[in-house]
Amino acid sequence: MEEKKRHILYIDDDPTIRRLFGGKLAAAGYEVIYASNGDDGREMARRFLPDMILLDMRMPGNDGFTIARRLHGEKQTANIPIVFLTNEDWSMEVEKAAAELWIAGYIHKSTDLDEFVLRIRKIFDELEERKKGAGGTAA
Amino acid sequence: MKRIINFIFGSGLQNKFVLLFLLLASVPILIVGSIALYAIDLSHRHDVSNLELALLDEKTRETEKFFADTLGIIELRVGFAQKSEIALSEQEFLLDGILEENSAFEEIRFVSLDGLETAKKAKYSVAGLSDVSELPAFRKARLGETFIGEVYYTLSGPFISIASPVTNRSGDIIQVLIAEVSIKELIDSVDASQIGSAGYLFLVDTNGSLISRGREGRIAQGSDLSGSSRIRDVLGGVLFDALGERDRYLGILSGIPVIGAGKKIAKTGWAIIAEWPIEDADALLRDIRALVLRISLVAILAVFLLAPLFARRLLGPIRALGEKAEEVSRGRFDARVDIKTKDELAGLGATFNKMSEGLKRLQELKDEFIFIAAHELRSPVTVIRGYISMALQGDGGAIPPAAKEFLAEADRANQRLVQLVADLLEVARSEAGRISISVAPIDIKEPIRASLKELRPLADEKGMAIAYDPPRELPNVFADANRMKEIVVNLVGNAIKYTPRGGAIEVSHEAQGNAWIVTHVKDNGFGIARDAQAKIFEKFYRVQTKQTEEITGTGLGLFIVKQIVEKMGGKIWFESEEGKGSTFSFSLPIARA
Repeated sequence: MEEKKRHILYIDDDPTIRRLFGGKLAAAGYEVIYASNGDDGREMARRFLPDMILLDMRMPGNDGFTIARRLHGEKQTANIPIVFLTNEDWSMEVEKAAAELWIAGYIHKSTDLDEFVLRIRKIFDELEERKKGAGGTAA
Repeated sequence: MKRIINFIFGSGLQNKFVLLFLLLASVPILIVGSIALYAIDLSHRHDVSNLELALLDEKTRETEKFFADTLGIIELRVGFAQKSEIALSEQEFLLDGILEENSAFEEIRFVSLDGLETAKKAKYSVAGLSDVSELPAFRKARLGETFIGEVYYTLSGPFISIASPVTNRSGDIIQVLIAEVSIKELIDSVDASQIGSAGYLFLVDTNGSLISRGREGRIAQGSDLSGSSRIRDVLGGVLFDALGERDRYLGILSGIPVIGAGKKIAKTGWAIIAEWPIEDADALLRDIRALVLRISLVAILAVFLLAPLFARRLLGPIRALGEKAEEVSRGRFDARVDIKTKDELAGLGATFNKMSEGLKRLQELKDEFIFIAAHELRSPVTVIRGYISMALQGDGGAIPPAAKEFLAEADRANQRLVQLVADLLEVARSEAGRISISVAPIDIKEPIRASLKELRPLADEKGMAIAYDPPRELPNVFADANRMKEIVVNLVGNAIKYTPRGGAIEVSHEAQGNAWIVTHVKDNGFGIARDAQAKIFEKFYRVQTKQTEEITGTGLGLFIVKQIVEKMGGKIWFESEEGKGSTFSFSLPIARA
């Protein structure tokens, strides 16, 4: 089916990593925009209102948690689903953050690239499901 | 008792301290005590001797003075030169004068040179004149010597005869004076003498007869004591000074042990003896001796009780240091000692604390370093992996087969790097206590099956069978499902790696009581050499043999597995025989419904 291209904002400080994952996503048919730090990322999120934000955790300056918290705290960006794409292992810290914040998903960077694309697609599908379900009850 | 012994004697060092203290304290006490006792004893003996001799001398002087006085009175020398007797009237007058001069005189008479009494006067009554030519008193005086006779007793007491010649101006003997003298006063004076509270004096005459009865009064006056060799010795002129061992004997009068002194009174030939019952004489000495002994004992006892306290005070910090050093050696670098002795030990404690603090910092730095290094490695490794896989998939265009082979090789090497980085991070986390495990009651068959499925391609490649036939009803255990997979992948992965082609691996369960479920991973592979067995769970340890040299690994897997198992409350162990295979087993606590 012909649907409008989904926009993904990918925030990561490492350009090679950005190119690798961003390129794979683009190859899979997503529209990817990049930001190399939290401030730029938030600015772009406000301006373009992407369908999903892919966020690295460990970055110079503000780390992923802080950025996620801020994005979630701002009205315009509060409802954009955030997915962590990180080299961090699933720790207590992440678990806590996931429960506190509205984190739609968590993907480890060591994941196979094709698997990565599948996971992104799956998260979109789940969000769609949920939106439909919520809409249904509202109607 | 046992507790007291334990209190006094403990470890080796404490025993040494206690013995040293005892030696240092007791030896001087014993030496000083002994010297004091010896000195006191010696001085006491001399005191006793001096006391007795002084009294003997005093009484001797008294006796000699008595006889000097009485004899002096009767040693008459007339003023004329002719050899004729004194006129009778004159004689009577002189006798009256003598009786009046000294009350000791009882009777006195003039005797002519042929032994006939010429005049006679007495205190109370006078008998008639008689012939005394046979009396030894007369005979001796007739020859010009003074005479002191033997003691004799009348109703009015002890008496003694004394005699002296009467001479004219030219020294010719013209008559003899014989007197009867009462020695009661002298004897009373001796009898009244006392040494200490029970010591006494007594007199014995030349024949060995007791003159005075002493304060003792047990033996009658006149008793013959010549049977005593001591009396004989004294009469023979031997001086006993109460210093020698022979001067301690059974008292002649009292019959109880005494310290005795004795001497001969030259003038009369009598013996004067002092006897002081030892019991009385040494009473003070005994008290002092008992006191010294008691003080010594108390001091030694005090040392016995104080020494362990001192030793403990010294040893406490040393022991604390030992314990903490032991902790540090086990890798617990936050061990701190608290020594407040304000001496070198406190300094040592502070240094120790600094040292373990430094070690802790070092450890933290190392962990941090590994963590950061491993983390930083991840990005490039990820990128390499991603691009290789994209290249292999032909995303960038067709690749010649040879290049594809190279890329595959690079990919395998990169995979190993990925694993190493992951392991290092896990180790760093585990050492920093940040390993995250969330246990819940789970059915471990699930994660085990999932892991085995993951490993199947690896096993198939080496033509190996993995048998897993768990019982249908296996109790749930407390475990973390993801970590459980890690354990199984590691253990079974090792089994595959270290078993030659065509080997067999078996995973099985066993209930240990109703507390534990033990999972065994058994292979029939190379096994582990005995000397390697102790190190198998150590970090970076890898068995180096011909068979294993081609096998790749980080040497961290088993270390991580052990940390995880222990974190989940279980234990891990293994049995292995070289050439026959190994069985790794780990236990997990059963979760009760």
